[in-house]
Amino acid sequence: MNSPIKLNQSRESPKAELLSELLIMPDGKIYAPNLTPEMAAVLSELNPDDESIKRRVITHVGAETKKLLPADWDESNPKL
Amino acid sequence: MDRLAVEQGSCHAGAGARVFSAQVEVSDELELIPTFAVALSGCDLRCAFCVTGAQSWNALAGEPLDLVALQARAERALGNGARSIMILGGEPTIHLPSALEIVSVLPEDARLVWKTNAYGSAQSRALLAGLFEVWLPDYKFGNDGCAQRLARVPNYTAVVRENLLWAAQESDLIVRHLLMPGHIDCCWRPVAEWLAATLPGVKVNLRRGFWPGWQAAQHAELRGLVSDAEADRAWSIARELELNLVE
Repeated sequence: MNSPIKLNQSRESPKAELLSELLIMPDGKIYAPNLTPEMAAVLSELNPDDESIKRRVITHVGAETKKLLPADWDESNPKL
Repeated sequence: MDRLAVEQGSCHAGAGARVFSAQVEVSDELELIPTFAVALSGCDLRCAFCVTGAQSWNALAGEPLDLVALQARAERALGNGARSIMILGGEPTIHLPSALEIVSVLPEDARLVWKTNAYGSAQSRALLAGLFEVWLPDYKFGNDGCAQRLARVPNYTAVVRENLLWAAQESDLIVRHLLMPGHIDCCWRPVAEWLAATLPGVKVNLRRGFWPGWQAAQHAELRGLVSDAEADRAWSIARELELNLVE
């Protein structure tokens, strides 16, 4: 239980370019202290009802996406 | 301590900083994410439960700081939607010259976040004045006994409180507290009461992400997770004191 899973998200290089550590508890709780947007997206796919993770996915928008959002879009409290 | 003369202090850091992680992350406060988080190796605390203990206790972990590459990556992250750049550790204060160099190459309009254990000296914070939009300190322990036992540092409470008071005047301030099993009454409650009385309205992020990693097992009460009952009690304390909790 004390050894978090380290996920190297880079396939091209043995050296990790992005690193997320996950601790999956027996009751299904997942702890992720250094969550990348990519891993947040994966976790949200696994559990779409988790609002906390969902908010962390949708706050990650690229510059091009931002141009498409309404001018009054509140990034600190995004709502779909 | 003259590190140029190969002296080393309790953090064991040398003259140059090393980076063990630099990537966009979304696990921090919602108002800050996505953040381009630059983590410098080494720390002056020895928290038994440190989630990055291998890198935080070893100032030689990671790669040497490459300012040119880091600048390019930071600018790319901002261009892709990162809302802030966070400098953290370990503890970044132990690499103050390098931290200042990093700031010097970042875009002027970037929202900079200083994530710290708040155990730095008055001299170090004076050198950081005016550089960061947000200070993000961890207020980990509610008394000096727990700080000494779990992180091996003396005089913790006075140092941290002095720095928090300074940071509240200096920048936007978000105070974090990581709930620890068995430390609700001795650590969280005094922290919460002091914040409510001294810095009313300050943003507080009460975190439940404790896991019994690194050397936590050396302390019996840290061998498990925060129970639901403890978490409920912690949040009750926060509500009673009308803390301004943020996620």
